[in-house]
Amino acid sequence: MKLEIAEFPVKQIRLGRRFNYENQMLEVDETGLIDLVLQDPRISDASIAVAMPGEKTRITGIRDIVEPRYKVSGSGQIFPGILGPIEDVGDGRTHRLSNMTVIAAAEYEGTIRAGTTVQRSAILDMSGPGAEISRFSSLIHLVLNFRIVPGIAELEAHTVIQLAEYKIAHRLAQTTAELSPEKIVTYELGHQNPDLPNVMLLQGCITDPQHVHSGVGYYGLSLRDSMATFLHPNELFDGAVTVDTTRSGRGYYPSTWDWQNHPLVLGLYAAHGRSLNFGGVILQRIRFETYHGKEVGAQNAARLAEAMKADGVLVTWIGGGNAFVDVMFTIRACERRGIKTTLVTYENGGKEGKDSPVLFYVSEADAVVSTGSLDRTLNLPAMDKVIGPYEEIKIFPFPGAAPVSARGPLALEARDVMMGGADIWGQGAWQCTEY
Amino acid sequence: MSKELEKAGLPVALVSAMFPVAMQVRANRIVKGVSIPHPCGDPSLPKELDARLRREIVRTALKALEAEVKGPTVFSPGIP
Amino acid sequence: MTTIVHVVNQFFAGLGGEDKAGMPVGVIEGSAGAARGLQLQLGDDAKIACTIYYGDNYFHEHKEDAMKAILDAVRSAQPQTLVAGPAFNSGRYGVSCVEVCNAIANDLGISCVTAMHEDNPGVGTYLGVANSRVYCLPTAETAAGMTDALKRLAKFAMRLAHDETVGPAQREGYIPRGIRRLEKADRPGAERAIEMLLKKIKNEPFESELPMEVWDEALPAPPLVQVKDRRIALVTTSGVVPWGNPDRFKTYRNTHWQKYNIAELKELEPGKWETVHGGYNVAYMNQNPHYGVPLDALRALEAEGAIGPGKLYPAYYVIPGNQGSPAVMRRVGQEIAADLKKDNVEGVLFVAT
Repeated sequence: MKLEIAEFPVKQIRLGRRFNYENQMLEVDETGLIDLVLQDPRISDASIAVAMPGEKTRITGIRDIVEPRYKVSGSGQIFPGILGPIEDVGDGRTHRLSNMTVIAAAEYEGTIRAGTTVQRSAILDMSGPGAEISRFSSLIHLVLNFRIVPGIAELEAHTVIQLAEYKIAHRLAQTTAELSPEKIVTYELGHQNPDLPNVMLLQGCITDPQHVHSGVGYYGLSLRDSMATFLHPNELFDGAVTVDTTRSGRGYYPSTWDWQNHPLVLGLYAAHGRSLNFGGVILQRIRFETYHGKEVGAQNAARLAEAMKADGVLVTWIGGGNAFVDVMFTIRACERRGIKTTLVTYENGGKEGKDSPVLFYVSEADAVVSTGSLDRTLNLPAMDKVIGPYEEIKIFPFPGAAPVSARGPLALEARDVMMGGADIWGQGAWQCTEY
Repeated sequence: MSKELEKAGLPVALVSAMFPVAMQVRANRIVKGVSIPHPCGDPSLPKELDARLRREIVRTALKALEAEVKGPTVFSPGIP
Repeated sequence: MTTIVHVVNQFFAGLGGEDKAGMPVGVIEGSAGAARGLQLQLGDDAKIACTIYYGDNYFHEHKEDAMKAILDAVRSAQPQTLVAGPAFNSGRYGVSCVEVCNAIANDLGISCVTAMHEDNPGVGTYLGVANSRVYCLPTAETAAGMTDALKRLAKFAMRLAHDETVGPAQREGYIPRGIRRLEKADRPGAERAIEMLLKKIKNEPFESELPMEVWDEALPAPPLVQVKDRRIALVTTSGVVPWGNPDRFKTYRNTHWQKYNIAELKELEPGKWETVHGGYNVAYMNQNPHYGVPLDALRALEAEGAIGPGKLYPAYYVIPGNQGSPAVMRRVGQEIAADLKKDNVEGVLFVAT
């Protein structure tokens, strides 16, 4: 399976009257895009805005972030099972508009009051201390700002949001369909060098199996009580794994963009054939709700890695709370089978970094890379401009919480409400150091 | 939190599905809960059996409070 | 001229052994005993204004008086920094060194340094205070390591005296206090992870960025005799609260607790309760709050005599437990314990999610 990714970097976006890409400038047909979004009768109004790095702008109501991509050759189309037919993806050629994203910022109240499945959205600052933390503040964003009609339940709302953002992203990338790229990077996993160790990525994903969307979409299907499965990394580049947009607006969950640009996948690919053989990705469901489930899931993932002859695995996860116990059991199960592990994780640790950094330990987890903390306080300054559906936001999601002005300043207890608040997979250089 | 209660001299019967975590943080009297979202019962059972299971879990907790323990000990409710 | 104060016990001040451990706090101008060794290491860079000493037993038995005397003496000397120890493996001495450093750092705002062996109980105290102005250097087990310890103490003290920035524990050689700071490394996490894994696979040495934590023991509280004659209370972190969430609990990171009356209730009526918690699927708990507050079972056991009449505490305690910081949970635990004891509760049924 060989995938060529053709890169078209975007340094400017102009809201104009046609779709055109030239000299790293993307012009978009503003009314055309809005019409495209309003084709869905469940959206009552929509507007588009551009946010540039360095501006004193805050974006609110963020549900998801996606990079515009479009397949010009090869099997299937981006986001198989959602936008495209259910077909293999990951070969041929895919165009990407790099350095930019589409942000889905939607007003939606939800029907669920509390618990893990309540809807949430996040904010993003394009300058200031919030921008320093987030991996998204250095990208250019085309913000799709819209309102969902009242009375829509969570699964449908997710579909509305996801289709709107993916359709826009698809249309934008399609602008480059006939163009020749500046740069092409080729991704393939052939040529395993017998002198190099086999390394896989073991990606744990928190799921809520009872909820209408479990949180992880695999070719558009919610992963529920499944056992671990193998993925070719190219499938991720073409959007085979997606998120629940009503719940991915938070600092420690990935956006679609993160799945498309997974830093550990890209890192392993870069090292492939040089210091290691990249053996592929194991997608593992975590946060089983019984001890029995956690242990069975952990051993199953380890057994799959063993069957695929992994010498070592990079282990990382999505989630918080007791899902981490699954991760630790998985590390133990791998190490007991002779598969070496290194864990990539963010920490908690409280406001001053004096509390336990993580929930649970096993002695086998002796190789850990810390990507920083979700917990430290953050004071965000007032912004000149707010883009998004909310003039007022709730910093704390609980029934009866008081909203505060979105323009700021905002005193955050932790980074949960910031998109990219925690560097979950080691994209950046954040770290916690022991003093 | 339960350790602070114990430090104050109150024996604590901790009902939790995540007993490995409870053992690691050295809670001393641990009663196996059914599952994280429903520790004291099982919604997949018919109501009467679920209620009976709950009584068994609470009974086991009371037994744990009466038990002499030397360190983290797990008590498993019997099948009622 | 940089001024330093050195705090030692009676033995290391040269005033006697175990038989003199009851000596009160005393102050010797300049350096005495082990402090002379420290002055030697400091050379002309700094002057030890005075050597403060105390008997190990005196310190612990008259702590308030001892601290006051030490604080007064240090205040008079106005040093740029303070050195205590080295305590090697002397437990009472090690603990007192940390307590002195902690008090001085908090009171006078100066950074302090002490030193002892890793297994000294004083290290436990050091981790407990986790004071960013108090440092502890590791030493050998016995005074055979004195010269080495004094050499490193002198160097470290000079840096503190000059308000130099002190880097991470690993790099600087002090025992980490468990204070983790958010910083930027020189390379992205993904790169560091691949490099660490390859080293591990090749059996080459590497440093994990997150140390394992060992939880301290809590001695089990004695069991209840005849539980049916004892007063018991229910505490839960499941987040079950009266409908409407009257006390405004958040779905995560709560800092306060509440107790809600169940005295007249035989069970929790559907529709009158809800679950505020962001960390688990609350659908089951909402349908049947007895999964977190098993009142129906408690009343049934009361009816059959397993719980004595009037022995079930008339309220249950709740704090939604999601992402509660351990420090907050410890405080909440202490407060609930005090409340329970005030009302003569003898045992607790704790339901966690």
